[in-house]
Amino acid sequence: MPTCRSGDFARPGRSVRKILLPLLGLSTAIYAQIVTLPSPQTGTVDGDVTDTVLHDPISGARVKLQAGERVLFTRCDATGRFQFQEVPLGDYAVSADQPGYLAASQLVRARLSADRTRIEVHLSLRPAAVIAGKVTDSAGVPMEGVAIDLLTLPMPPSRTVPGTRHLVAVASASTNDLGEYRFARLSPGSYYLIAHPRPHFDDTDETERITYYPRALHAASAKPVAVAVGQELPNIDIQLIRQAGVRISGRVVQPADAPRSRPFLVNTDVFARLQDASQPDDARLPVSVVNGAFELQNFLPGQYVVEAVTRDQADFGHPRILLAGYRTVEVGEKDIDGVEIAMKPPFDIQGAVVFDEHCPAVPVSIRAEVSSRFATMPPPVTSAASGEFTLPSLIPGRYKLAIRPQPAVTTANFQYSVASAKLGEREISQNGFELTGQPAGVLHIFMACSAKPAPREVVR
Amino acid sequence: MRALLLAVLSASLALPQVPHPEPGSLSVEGAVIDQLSGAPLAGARIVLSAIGPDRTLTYSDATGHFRFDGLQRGPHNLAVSRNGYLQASQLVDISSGQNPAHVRISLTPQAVIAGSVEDLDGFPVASASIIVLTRSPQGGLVSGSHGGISSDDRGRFRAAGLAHGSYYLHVEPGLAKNWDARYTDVYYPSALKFEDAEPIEVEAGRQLDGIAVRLRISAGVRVQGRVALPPGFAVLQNGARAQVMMATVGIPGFGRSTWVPLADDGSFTLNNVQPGKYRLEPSLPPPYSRGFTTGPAGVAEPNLQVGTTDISGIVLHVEDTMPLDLAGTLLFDAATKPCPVIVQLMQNRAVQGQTASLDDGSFALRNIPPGKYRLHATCIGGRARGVSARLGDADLPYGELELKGPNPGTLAISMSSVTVRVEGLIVDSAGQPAPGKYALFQAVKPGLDPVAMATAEASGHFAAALRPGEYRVWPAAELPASFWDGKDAPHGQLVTIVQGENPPLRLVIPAVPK
Repeated sequence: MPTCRSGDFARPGRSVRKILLPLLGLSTAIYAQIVTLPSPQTGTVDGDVTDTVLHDPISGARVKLQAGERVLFTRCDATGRFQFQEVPLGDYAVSADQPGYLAASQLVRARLSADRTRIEVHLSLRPAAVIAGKVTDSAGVPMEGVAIDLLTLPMPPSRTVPGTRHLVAVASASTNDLGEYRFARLSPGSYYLIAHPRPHFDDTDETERITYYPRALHAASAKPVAVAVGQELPNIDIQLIRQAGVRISGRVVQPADAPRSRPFLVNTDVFARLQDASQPDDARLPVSVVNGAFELQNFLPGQYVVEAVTRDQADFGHPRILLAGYRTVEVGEKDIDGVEIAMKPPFDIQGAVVFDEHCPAVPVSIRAEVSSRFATMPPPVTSAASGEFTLPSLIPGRYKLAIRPQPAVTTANFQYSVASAKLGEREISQNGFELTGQPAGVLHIFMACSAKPAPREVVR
Repeated sequence: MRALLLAVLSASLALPQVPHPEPGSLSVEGAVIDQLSGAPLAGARIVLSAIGPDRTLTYSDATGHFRFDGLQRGPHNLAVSRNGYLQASQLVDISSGQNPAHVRISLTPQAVIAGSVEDLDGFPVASASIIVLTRSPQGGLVSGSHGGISSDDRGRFRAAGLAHGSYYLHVEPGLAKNWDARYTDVYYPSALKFEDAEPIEVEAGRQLDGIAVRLRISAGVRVQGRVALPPGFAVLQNGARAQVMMATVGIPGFGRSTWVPLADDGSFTLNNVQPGKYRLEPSLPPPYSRGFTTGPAGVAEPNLQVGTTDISGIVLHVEDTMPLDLAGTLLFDAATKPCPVIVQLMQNRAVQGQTASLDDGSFALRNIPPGKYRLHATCIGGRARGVSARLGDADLPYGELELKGPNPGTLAISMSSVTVRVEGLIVDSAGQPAPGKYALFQAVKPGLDPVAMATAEASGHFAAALRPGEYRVWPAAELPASFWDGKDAPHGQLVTIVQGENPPLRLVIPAVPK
């Protein structure tokens, strides 16, 4: 059997003897003792590499044998077989590589011991699929520098609501000067593609839009690209949609008691985003407010949230939000002017956790998560023994509550769940709730509980 | 807008302009052509911008023509790009003298270097990143392409958007390193050292194919040391681990850096370090540093020579660089009405932090990383600007402020709205008016805004608003980017600007030597 051996790997088995001889002062007695050791010091790893689908041998594949920093390499012969000889005993990971196959698609463990000095390893490589194509603008001219995301439905597929497919990006690429992109080494499957014409959207008259393959503005009308094992799809072309957008402009309205010479004049930013977070948004930057006025350009039809914050930029470390506000705007075919955003200082909400009569009170952690470009995720607060808690420094926005009993409680005899929640007299749904400013009432969280099944006695 | 002052411009960098500027009645029209063939170019993207953030976009039509209407007078920039051509930009002075203004923009066809990367087995190397280098006029190496280039699964790469010239390729091993960690960076065709790199010559409009790069294996050496940490310093802070940065030095204008995390005892090990000169710096998590904006908060080993043997025992020291607070006050001169003032600390022309003064003229900035800043102070809704500043009892020329903890002293900023109108004429060496050219002023005693400029109109006349004082003034055809720093070598004539009347200036643009 022809074998290929790596030329640059040190073979300790042989070199140890060569070094020992002079070191030990030509003591033949000791030398003889070493060579007559009962167990061999090296072994042999051989095997083959095949194609997972066709089961054909892959000739010329390269094979790596690795144990920590010790790495040995070899190549397969024409029949897809390889052999490593005189391998020091130990635990190895064996992997193979060949162009056109998925990288490291298989890693096999191999242990060479004194009892087992010859191991046969079977490796198989999975042919990789390719999706490639070209991106052109609406006039058919190739576009350079377009960012492309390759998306899939997450596994296991979640329930899909029409128009709001929740896709996850698995790879991204960028087009070259010929408008070409290429996703290689793909697993077989069904993919969506989305092209972002300019990664840094500026608010000029840019009208090439984020476009799904083959030519769709929304995920709902995008078509998936199905690629089989080892298949190459070279002509998955995307033509960008050109569509002009409209203006959203208006004013931020400061509270009457806001002092004039405070930093409010300089540090207010406005941002508009699609309310449906599953839709891709242009990579825009917030726009500064000047003399109370703002102007945002080039929005396609849809439901938007226009949000504003005034920050205290005198603090380099943690620019504190001094004022915030938001409005929801339905954008259609015409410019929208005169949007007024009432700015409010951050406010606290007092709350109390109320337990069902038969449920012992336990500490509960509560986090108010707001969807806003400007807000950061707040740390959770924990209810006191009385059940009371305070959610500090909230800004106007749409909130969801993350409520969970403290981890230590799970060892108790009850399992807790949130029965309902009320802000003042208003019932709060799981989908969230709007806070436009300091609410009038207290936030009540009603917890129910069920007894955990008692541990069964073991019948002897 | 005939005269622009630094404060106006710097404010426009930091602050947006008022929305809805009044549209003007002027126009600019032009044509885009291929520089080599002279053929008109359709579909070129043209972005027009004046001073400020507002920009307008259009595309050239089938005959290569474009037009912008509704413009105000003043300098405008046209940035033109089209697939397959190098980007170009052109400054147009729009005035009522010639309306519409005409421009002709010729785009140079790009050169392309394309090829492939393979490893020692002859396998194509995917995700190898390719940096295209070229000599700068100063002799250093600079990146000759825009954006990152990397090889695909077939090992192929394509460096487009190149100008005519001579290039070197620096290639990082990409996925080859996953197969064998000893694969190392090479220069085309297969050189470990830049001295052995071969240049690639390309001409405008030409595509050079088949450039084959072959990777090499070189184990390199191990570099070990530790960072002498300040007392009480934890290597892991708020989830961020302190690191050591190793950057190449000695290849002028082209640096590459790698980072390794520190072990809990502050020690570090860098493997596979190739021979060469390196700079080692500690890079510490907040609050000690603020990422790359202020640089690492440590003391560097500036010139580590790595050869063919392992190096150990390097000790890097760290300075305590806790952020600090700065309090200040405003001093208005007798002729200036007090107003609320925006106080800004800048680094590399980017605002790092800003505040507005309170009614009593005091202001405070908090949590500032120690470092060098440039100070700007501008009145909100008024004409007053910061003219000079003192930190403690030290003057701050150029508004340059070096902050060291923990008690930097009080920052006192002198505000003034006093300016004098200075008029003049710019002519060329033949004595003809030179519209669109600049009159550049540089204060002899630099304060917070040490420079000013004005643009000549169609008649060659300009008017600038300056504070009284001594200036160097000279004419220029172009505005060097470094001008705003106020540290260009002063040239031109010395003028003293006084309050009241000043004689008109006459500036002559010297003839370009053949």
